[in-house]
Amino acid sequence: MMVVRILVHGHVAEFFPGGQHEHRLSLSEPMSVTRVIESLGVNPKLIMKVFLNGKPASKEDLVHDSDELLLIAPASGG
Amino acid sequence: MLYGYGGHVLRVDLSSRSVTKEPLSESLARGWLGGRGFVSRTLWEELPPGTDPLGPGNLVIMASGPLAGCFLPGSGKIHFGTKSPATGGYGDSNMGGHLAAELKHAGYDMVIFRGQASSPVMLVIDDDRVEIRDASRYWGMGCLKTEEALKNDLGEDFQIATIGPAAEKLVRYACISHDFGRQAGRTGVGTVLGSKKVKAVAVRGSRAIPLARPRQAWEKGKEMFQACFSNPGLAQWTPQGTAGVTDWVNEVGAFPTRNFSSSYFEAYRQINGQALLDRLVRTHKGCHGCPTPCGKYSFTRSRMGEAWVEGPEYETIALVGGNCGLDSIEDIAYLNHVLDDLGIDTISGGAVIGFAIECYQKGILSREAVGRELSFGDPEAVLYLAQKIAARDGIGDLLADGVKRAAGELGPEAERIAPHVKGLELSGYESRYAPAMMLAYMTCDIGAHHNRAWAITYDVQVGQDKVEGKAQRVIQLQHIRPLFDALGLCRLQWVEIGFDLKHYAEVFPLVTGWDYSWDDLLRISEKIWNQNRCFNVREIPGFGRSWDYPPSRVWEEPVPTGPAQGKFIPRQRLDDLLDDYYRLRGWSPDGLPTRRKLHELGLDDVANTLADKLPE
Repeated sequence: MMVVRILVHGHVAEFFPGGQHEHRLSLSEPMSVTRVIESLGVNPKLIMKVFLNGKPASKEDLVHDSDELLLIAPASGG
Repeated sequence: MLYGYGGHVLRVDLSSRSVTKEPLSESLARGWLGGRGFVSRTLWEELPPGTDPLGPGNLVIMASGPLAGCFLPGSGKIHFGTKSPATGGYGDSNMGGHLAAELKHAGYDMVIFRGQASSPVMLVIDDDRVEIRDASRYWGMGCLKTEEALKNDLGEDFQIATIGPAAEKLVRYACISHDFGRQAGRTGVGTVLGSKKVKAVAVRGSRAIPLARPRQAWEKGKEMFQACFSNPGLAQWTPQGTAGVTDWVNEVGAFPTRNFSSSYFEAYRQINGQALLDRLVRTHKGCHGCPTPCGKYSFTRSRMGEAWVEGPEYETIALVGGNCGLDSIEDIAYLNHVLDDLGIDTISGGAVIGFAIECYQKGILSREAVGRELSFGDPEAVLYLAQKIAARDGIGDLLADGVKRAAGELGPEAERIAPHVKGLELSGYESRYAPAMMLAYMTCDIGAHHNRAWAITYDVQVGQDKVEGKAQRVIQLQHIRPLFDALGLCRLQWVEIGFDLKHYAEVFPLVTGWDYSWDDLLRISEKIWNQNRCFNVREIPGFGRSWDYPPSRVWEEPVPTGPAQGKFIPRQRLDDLLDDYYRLRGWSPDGLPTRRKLHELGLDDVANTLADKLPE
């Protein structure tokens, strides 16, 4: 099994399991960012930006073993 | 001693040019916290019913909160309130910067302006020395130029709030400006200062703010700052600030486009946070105690001229940009500078100008009436209208009264497309595909403003077509988010970083010495919300459910393009949303708080005052 670390930035963490900002997910095969988010019970449209291992990524990119996925929440304007 | 407070209130009578100082009431502080709570209670108790918003009887209240100025993230918010000249009801707006902290260091929590000066004045607060001074030489100057001049004349260590030419001309959506780009923009708080001929407020303070448990408050503050700085997303969020949300709002079909006729702007990538960062931003700019600086100090070269500007923030990009069809971030930034210096709220200003352009396109406004051609995507047209509005010249005189009043003059089709609720123009979210966000606009106490309940993320998570359950969420947010405005804190650390709200419940007793739980604080927020609703009942003849609807375009016209294409909210579904909302709030189906609900909240005096208007 592959394990990925998922960090959730911002208030949308409340929609993730347990309202937590950090999650670990076991994958049987590489999976798109969209599917990773869906597997945590969250609508991928909710996420504003994605960073994979510290670099900007798209929701179509594949997540592999030991990757770190950072999900950025939208914030209201000033 | 009141811990967490400056300890005094200043009453400024502009008609007699006198200032009195009194101790801050402990019952006011305990019952209403500060900021928005002080504004709400003071307006209820001290404003004579039926007061003309632009007459001498109106009040302008400037108030900080108990956590403002403390060693805490985002502790730089100050609140302004008045009877709004835009809506005729409760009006308030807040801004960041450094004024709240300075005011408390001078020993004050609230300044109440009443009366009208016979010639331009400014209030200068220098610790115990408080003076109303002549400000004639600054009258007519822009907000930014006035602040610069006062920094030169008084000293750079004064924190200064100013109004611009638009407020002097009583444009109903004029703002109060501070720190060269922060504004209390909404509901015409600047307009009322203009009616009183108050050009500026300058504050310098040197006292410490007393804390109940200073060592523990210090440790808690450090913990909160460290939690901010160690947040994994902070470095990725900060560079673009609020402008970074532009793509997302388009992708979920909510970006105000061409007078809210659509919710998707095809050129959004040319005006988004990345464009701003790549082409204009020179440095980040934060407020007092800010670990997450959303402000961007930028330099723009546009076809209209060059300018330094703080921003553009997301709301300006949305309303001056997409809503006016502008596809150049340089042009938007330049117009941001112009509006800031004129002292026009960029949200209402952008909404009014977009409305005027669509009226022109539909033949509702003629070339003769306007004085030139208008089209979406023409920055010169936006500049022209902004200057006309600020001067109340020609067509600007009509538009200076806002879209509701202008549409009332222009006829039914203009009323159908005028983007407002209660007379306050919509901010940056077109919500025909976001029912919770729409309900948030419909029920917001000041009119159509986003920051009381930014519910659009809930729409996206649970379903943008669904209305079920949305009212509960809107109410929850309407208690949490405005609570920050009473405490004197910026809410962005909670929104951006996802701060656990328990941080705030933990630090409150360390600062004030009062053992309030988070639920206690939320209860006060609910009390403020209900009192503001009652203020509108008292001040607006016939106020109730009928005042909570958006323009009929929302339920008559599907979104024409983008992710929300074909979407709209049928009138019956808007009614369902309101029915749920009123029931959950304990209000009548007509949208009136019941006397029982007010009693439950400890607002018996409010219930008694309105006994003949409110249901049992």
